[in-house]
Amino acid sequence: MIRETSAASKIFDLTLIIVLVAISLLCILPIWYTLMVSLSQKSAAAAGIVSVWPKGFNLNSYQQIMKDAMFFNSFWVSVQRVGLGAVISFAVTVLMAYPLSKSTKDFRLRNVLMWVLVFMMLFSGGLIPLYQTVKAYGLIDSVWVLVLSGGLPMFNVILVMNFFRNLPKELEESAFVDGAGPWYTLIKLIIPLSVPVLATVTLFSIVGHWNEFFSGLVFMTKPDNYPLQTYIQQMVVQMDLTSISNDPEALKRLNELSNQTLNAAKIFIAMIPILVIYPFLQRFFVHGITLGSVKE
Amino acid sequence: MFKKIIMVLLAASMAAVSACSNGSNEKTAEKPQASAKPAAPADPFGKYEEPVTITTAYSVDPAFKSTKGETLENNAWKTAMKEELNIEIDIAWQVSKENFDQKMNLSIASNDLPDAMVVSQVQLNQMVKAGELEDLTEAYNNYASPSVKRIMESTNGLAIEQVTFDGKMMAIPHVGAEDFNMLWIRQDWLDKLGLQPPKTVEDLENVAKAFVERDPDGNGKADTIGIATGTGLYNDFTAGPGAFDLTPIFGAFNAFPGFWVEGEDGKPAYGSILPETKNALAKLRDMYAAGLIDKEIGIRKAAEETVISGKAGMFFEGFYGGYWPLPSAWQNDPKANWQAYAAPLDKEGKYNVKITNPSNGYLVVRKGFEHPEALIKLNNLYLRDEAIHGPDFMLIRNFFAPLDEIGFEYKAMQEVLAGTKKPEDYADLPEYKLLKNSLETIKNAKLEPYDKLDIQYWNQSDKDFMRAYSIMVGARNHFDPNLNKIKSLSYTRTESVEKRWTNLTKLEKETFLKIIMGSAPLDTFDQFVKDWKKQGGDVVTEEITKTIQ
Repeated sequence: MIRETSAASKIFDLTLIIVLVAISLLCILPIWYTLMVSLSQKSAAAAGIVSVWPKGFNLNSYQQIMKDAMFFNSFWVSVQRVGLGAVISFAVTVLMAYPLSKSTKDFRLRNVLMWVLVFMMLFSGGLIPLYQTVKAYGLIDSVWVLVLSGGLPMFNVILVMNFFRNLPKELEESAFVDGAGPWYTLIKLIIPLSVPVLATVTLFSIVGHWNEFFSGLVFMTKPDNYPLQTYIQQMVVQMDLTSISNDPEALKRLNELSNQTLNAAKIFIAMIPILVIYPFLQRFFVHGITLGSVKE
Repeated sequence: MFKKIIMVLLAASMAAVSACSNGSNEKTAEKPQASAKPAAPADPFGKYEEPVTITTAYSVDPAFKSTKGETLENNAWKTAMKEELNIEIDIAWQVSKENFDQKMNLSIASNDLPDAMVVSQVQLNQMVKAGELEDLTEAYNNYASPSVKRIMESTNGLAIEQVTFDGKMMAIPHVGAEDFNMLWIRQDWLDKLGLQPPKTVEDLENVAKAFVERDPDGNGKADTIGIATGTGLYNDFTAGPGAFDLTPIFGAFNAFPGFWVEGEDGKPAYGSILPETKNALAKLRDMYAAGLIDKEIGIRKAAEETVISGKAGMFFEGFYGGYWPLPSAWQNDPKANWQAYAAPLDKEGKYNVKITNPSNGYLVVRKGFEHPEALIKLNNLYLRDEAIHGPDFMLIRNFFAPLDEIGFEYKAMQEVLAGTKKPEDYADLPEYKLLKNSLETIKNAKLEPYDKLDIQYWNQSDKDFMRAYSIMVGARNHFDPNLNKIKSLSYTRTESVEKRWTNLTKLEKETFLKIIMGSAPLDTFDQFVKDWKKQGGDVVTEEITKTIQ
C-alpha cells in the first residue's frame, strides 16, 4: 500500500479521524450515560448531576431488577416474540421473494402482484381497523399477534428479491436440467447462495421485534403479556407538570415516577441482547445491504 | 386469466371480512349479562340479590406494590363490595396510567367499551357525541349517598354543569380538593443573607438577585439559580394547578392567562390576550434577561432538577412540596429549609390565585348497561369506607374529596398540636379520608416546638412526614389573609375548544416563551392577539359566552 506523506494529506487524515471519533462518541455517549445513571444514587440522578462517572456508586437498581418478576416475565415474552418472529418473517420473506424474482415470462402476474405489495407497503388501513381485525381473529393477548400482524416485511422482501435476481440464471437452469424442481432449487441452491442478504433481513427483523413497543401496548390487555420494551416504555413516560392531581395517593407516587436510576438500569439490560448479537451478524449486514440493493 | 384471479382474490377477501364480523358478533353476544333485579329501590347501600358483574378498564401504576400484600385478585375492597353490595368487577383490560388515554381512545373509536370506566373531559365529550353513554341522571338522583351529594354541591354546581348534556347527566364527575400555587423558598438562604421573605414582585426580584449573586450555598461558585421553572408557564382553564410554573407572578399583575375573565365591556374575555398579561410578560422578560429565572428553562430533562440538586432558591407549586420534589432534595441536603408563602402580592396587596376545575376525571357507563346505579352504589361505599379498607384497588372509583379538605386538615392539625382539641373531636367525618390518621400521627412527624415549622423541627424519617409537612407548611397559606380567589367564568370544553385548543395553546405558549426568553420582541404580543383571534379564538370566545348565559 502506498502512503501519501505530504502535509496536506496528513491533515486530511487527521480531520477524518477526528470526525469519525466524534460521530462514534455521539453513538456511544448516550449508552454510557444510561449506564452511569443506573449505577448512581437515586437523588443524584434526580438532581441531574451525573455526568461521565457515577455519583455515589451502587448496584441497588440492578438488585431491585433481579427481584422484579414482571421484568423477567416481559423479557421472556420478548424472547418468544423474537424467536417466533424471526422464523416466521424469514420463511414468508423467502417464499414471497423467490417467485417475485422470476421474470414476467415465467410468472405472468408478477408485476401486478408487485404493485399490490408496494401499495400495501406505503398505505395501511390504520390502527383501528387493524385492532378490530386482530380482535375478530381472537388474537388479543396472545404472543401471535405480535409476530403475525406485520409478519411480512415488504422492505425485506424487495431486498431479498433483488438479491435473488442478481444470482446467475445459468445456475438455476443447470439445476433444472439435472431434474431439480422449484422447491429443491430454492432450498438447496438459492438459500445457501444468499446467506448475506438473509442474515441481513433476519437481523432487521430481530432488532425490529426486540425494540417495538407499540403493538404490545395496543393488543395486550394485561401487563403480564407485555413484551419488554412495552414494559419499559410505560415506566419512563414523562410526567405532565401542567396538571398534577392532589389525590394524596397519587402524590405519594410522584417520587417513584421519577426513579431515574431504576429506569436507566432497565433500559441498559434491555439493550444488552442486541449489543451482543450485532457484532456477530454485522459483517453480513454491510455486505448484504449493498449487494441486494443493486438492481440489474 | 387475469380477470379470473382478481375475482378469486376479491371473493377471498369478502369471505375474510365477513368471517371477521361474525367473530365479533359472537363475542358481544357472549358477554356476561348481568341478570339481577335491583334491590329495594333507592337504597344507596342496598345489596343486590343476584350478583352484578361490571367490566371495566383499569389503569395501574407499574411501580405500585401494595404495602399490605394485597393483589388485584385478592383485596379488601373486592371482598367488601361482594359482601355489602353483591357486585363483582371484571377487568376487560389494564394498562399503565400514562398510556391509559391512548388505549381508551382506541376503545372509544372502535366502540369496544367495557361497562364502566373513568375518562377525561375530552373523551367524555367524544363519547356523548358518539352516543356511547348511558344517562345517569336518575341513577345519581336516586342512589347517590348524602355525603356524595354534599361534596358535589360544595362546588356550587360547577362539577355537575360539566357532565350535563341537554339536561341529562351523562357522567359522574370527580371532585378534588381545592389548591393553588404558592412560593416555595429556601428559608435558610434568606436567613444567611439577612433577607425577609418577599412580599411584592420587587421583593421577589431583589431576593432572586441576592440568591444568584451572593452565593447563598457558600461554595464559592456562582452556580445558584433564583427561580426554577419549567416551560408550562401557567395552567389554562382545562387543567391545573401545575407545578413549576409562573402563575403567581402573572397573578401579581392581575393577569390570568388561560382563564376566561370579565373584559372591560363586561363580556367574557380570554385572559391571555389582555394588556395585563402583556405587562406580566414584560416583567418576566426583564427578570429572565437579568438571570433571575432559570436560564436553562426548557433545556433541562426535568424542571425540578435544580431544586433537588440544591441549586435553586425558589419555585412555585401547590401545597404538596413535602410530597414532591422536596423529599429527593432532602436526600442531598437534609438541612434545606424550604418554606412556603402566599407571594408575590399585587399592587393592592392581594394574593391572586387561580381556582382550577374541581373535576379532572369522569365516571361513565356504557349505553345499555343494565345496572347504572351499581356504579353509584359502589362509589357510595368507597367514600364511606375508605378509612377502613384503605386507598388501594378502588376500581372504577370516582375521586371525591371535600373542596376544603386541605385547609380543613391544616386547621385541625393546628388545634390538635396546640392542645385545644383532641383527634377524637374530629370523629365522624369520613369524607375527610386522611384526617383521622393525620391527627393521630402528627406528633410523630412534628417535633417540638410545635409553632416552629423549620426543617430541623421535623422527623423526616417518620412515615407520615410527607403529608404532615405539606399540610403544615403548604396548606397554611390556604388561610392567608391576602388570598383572592379567581375563578374562570367557564370550565367547559365546548365543541370549538375541542377542535382548536391544541393549536391555539401551541401558538400562545410558544409566543410567550419566546417573549420571556428574549428571542422575540415584546410587541410580538400584539401580533399574537390578532393571530389568536383569527385562528379560532373569536369563535371559541363566542361559544364560551353562550355557555355562561
